[in-house]
Amino acid sequence: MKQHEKSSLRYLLKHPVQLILSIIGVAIGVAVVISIDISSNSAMKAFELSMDGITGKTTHIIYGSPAGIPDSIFFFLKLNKKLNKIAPIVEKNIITQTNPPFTLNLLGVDIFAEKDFRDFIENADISAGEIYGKLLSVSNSVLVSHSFSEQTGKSIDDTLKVKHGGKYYILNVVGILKDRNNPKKYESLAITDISTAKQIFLMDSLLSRIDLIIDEKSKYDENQIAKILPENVQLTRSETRTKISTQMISAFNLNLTAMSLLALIVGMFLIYNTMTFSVVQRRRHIGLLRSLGITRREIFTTVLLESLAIGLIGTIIGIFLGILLGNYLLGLVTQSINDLYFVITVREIYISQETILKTVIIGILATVISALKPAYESTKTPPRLVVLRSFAESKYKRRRFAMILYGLGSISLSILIFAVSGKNVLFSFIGVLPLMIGFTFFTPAFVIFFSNIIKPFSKKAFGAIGAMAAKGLANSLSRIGIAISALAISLAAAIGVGTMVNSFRITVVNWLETRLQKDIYISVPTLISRFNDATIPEGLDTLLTKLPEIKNITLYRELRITEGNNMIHLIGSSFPEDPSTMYVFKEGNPNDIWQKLKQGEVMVTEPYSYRTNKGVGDSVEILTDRGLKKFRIAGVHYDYGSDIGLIFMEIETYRKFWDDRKLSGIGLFLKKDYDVQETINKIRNLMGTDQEIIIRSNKDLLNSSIEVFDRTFIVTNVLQILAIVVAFIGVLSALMSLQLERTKEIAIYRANGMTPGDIWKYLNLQTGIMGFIAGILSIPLGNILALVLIYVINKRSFGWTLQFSIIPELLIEAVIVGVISAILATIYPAYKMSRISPSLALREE
Amino acid sequence: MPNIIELINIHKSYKEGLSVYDVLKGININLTQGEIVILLGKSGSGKSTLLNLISGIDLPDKGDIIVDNLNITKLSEQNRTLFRRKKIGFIFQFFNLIPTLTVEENLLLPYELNYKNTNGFNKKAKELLDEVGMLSRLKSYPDILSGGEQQRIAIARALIHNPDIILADEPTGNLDYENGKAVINLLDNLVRKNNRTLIMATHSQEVIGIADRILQIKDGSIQPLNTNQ
Repeated sequence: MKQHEKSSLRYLLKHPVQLILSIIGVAIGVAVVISIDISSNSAMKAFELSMDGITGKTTHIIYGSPAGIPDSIFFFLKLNKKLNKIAPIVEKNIITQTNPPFTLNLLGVDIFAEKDFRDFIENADISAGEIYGKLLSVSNSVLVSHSFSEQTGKSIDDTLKVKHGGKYYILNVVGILKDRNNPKKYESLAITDISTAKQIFLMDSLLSRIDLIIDEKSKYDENQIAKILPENVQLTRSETRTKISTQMISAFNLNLTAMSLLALIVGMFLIYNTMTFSVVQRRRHIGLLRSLGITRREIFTTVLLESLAIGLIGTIIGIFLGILLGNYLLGLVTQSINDLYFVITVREIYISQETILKTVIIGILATVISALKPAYESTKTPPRLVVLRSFAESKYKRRRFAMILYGLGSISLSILIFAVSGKNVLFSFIGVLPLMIGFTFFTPAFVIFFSNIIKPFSKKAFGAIGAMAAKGLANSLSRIGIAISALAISLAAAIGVGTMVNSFRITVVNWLETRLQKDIYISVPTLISRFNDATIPEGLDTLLTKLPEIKNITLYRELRITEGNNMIHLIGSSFPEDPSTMYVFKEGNPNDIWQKLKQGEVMVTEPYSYRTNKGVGDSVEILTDRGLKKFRIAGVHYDYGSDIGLIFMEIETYRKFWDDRKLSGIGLFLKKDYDVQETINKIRNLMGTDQEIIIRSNKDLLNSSIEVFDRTFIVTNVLQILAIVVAFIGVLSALMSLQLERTKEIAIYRANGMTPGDIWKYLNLQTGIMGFIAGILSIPLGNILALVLIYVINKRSFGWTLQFSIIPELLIEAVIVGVISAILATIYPAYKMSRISPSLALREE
Repeated sequence: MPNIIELINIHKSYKEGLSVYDVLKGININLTQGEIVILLGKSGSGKSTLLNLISGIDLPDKGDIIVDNLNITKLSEQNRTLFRRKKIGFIFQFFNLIPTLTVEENLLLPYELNYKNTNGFNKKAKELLDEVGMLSRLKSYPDILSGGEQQRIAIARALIHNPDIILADEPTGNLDYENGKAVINLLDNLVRKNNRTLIMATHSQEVIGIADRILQIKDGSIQPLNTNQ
């Protein structure tokens, strides 16, 4: 190591507090990024593994309508067409009534068809013969995974109570599955005979799918099989199924990644802040090295190496922290996926080498990029020792108007990035960086302006010390400006995320209030909160129409279908007499949409339209029981229920194209003078206790929907808190550095008669004003950031148009947090400074 | 003796706000190898500016500075740094040792900048430190040394890489009489022994005893020394 590098290293080590704070800042930023990556990846990995257990060696799958595929097709292929590698499957999720409860995928199989497809027979703890015997002879028999058995204590010959579609069933455990090479493979799987599954899932003559193995030995190839199939079923490759599911949550994962990057960006400001301070503080030191013959390039490299060291250590610590955090977030991410998309069970985190490598690169790159400017600034230090502070300060003051122009330039760059980034969320997110940097350029002008305004008030309230504190700000702009900017950026990040979440919430509540106009809603509990596919008992609608309280009844059927490679929700619904008050349309004429729906057209949600680029006049092509059919889009409406994309059609249209009379829900309008709660009780008594039915008032449904919404934003809130923690560390570091280097200045005050108490007051007052300025500065930036998150990031992730709402509480909170964190960060330096001996400080050169 | 430094019609001014201060107004000086020159002048007279110009730290507004037949005013910033690294040894009023490096490492800094092979460093450092009476403080950090001791180390640092020219800016300005005297004697001995050129800026006339030549800067130009001053 060269001597000047050694000297830099020792300089950092001589300022351990600042060094540690910088490392912690990087570490938390990195930890947030890797934790999101780990939790999303773990969820996906668990999903892929469970898919592996379910699909086995299946190469192709035959699907029918979302309600199921008639088993006659299976018999036709097996018996008439003599396909030998073919397996019928009935599968759905069940919840076990165990402690803890588990959500398992109950796979109903034809045991004799299985040996070519799945390997559970050889991985069971009983012989193949016993499996055949017990699955066929023991009623409601089931094979469960080893890990399920271990965690619930359920073993062979035990009974297992499970719930599906609001009904309870008793199963008998007859065997335990364990794949020694891949213990997680069967984790969320339970296997039963197909007849048991049909009974539980009420699929008498229907199958969920037909699995096929098509290879060189097969009698027919893929195209030949496709041709012999009736037009209401579809042949797909098995990997497409996994792809469609993973694609469904890609926007969710992407948005989480983007949010995690916000913490990293705040972390980058922290590094920038630290490195700038370290360069500013060492101006004299660097000047000395320059006068001894160290070149600019050598200085530049040294500062970059310093940042690299901080980045590397921070990244390594961040990876470990991130693994811990990932473990915690995994539960929240899994919960959100379960609420929004599909059911997965994840118990262990999965850390891939790519994740680690990616994080190391991101961590180090972010650090080095942040240090580029301070490193460049350091090379501008003249090779002389007398760099007058006053000179530097007056230069900084003079440049404030030029800096406003730089700021505007930087903001323009960010607008340009938003404009050209199209639908690319991560590229759009890069635009946040110049936006934030642009704002920091306004700080000097604002500080001068504000300190002039506040000075008379500060003088009146705190006397001469008050005036000094306000004036001192404008005179130490070169350093104070950086600290204020860092604090403002951090607070703005908190305002931005908070405003986005709150705006989202307000939009959703408004939407729900518009949409939920019926008095009573009836449905069956489902595993996925945002997907209501369970069916209510047959005949309930007829029963309800006979009640004297009922003025009007709407029927509702929801199913999941695929359109191309996209999973979407199909909703068949009857609409009330005047539905126009329930829907707000983005495209289409609200006056004639209802008529068009009656004629067989459909309406789609905004996310669907955004993702597929389809609007009014375009068509959606979906597989119906009558074959592949096109439906014209009559309107695009705002909907915040699902980012997957929803297609609405009249229930009569649905029933015309699908042989499915089942219902997922019923909405009731009551006649005047009838009490909602009394009617709910009456319906409950009518229903009996055979099936668990959810009968909710308008208000209850609204509350439970909001509850789900809040739950899905817990991860975002955790990220927001972490961004604030990174920010606070940044502020702590900046202000501590700032105060600790003022030893001489403070000693002069002391020598001139200021008491330790005066010093204490002076420093706290000054940083309090700094915190206040940062808080005020963060308000416009925070709201602009929220606008970006809402109209760029969220829009491009999910396709939602959210109503931006300014949240006054958040703005007040930001100013208070700014003042408090600034004062907190000054307590230690103020204490140290107030005890400084004037003679000691002034004796030093 | 050939000239090692030629300053030809050097002008230098500084701007402060809208005002312009002419510090040097057409200075011409020639210095020969091995010469010890004292620059006298009041604070702010331009002594340090002149040293900065000779070392290539600053550039004149007008005029040429030829050092060892090289016009350094024509060099790029990078090349002026490399020139300074090789040819100049600096001694400052406030010592300016690097507090985060030991005495030995402070000496090694200019040495390793000039020599790829540092095998000869230990011997050279020990010799020099012995000569300045600081051999026992090889592993000490500068901040625990007295002012006089620090300046001795600074002298050793200025000489370690065998520069042709030593520039000393008020080297005794921060020392008491005894230490100041000792430092001047040390400089005199070492510079003469190694046949270096020394230019020392000072406003103290007590050091003029060692000078081969005394130059006084007044009103931006070199003026004859008024012995009554």
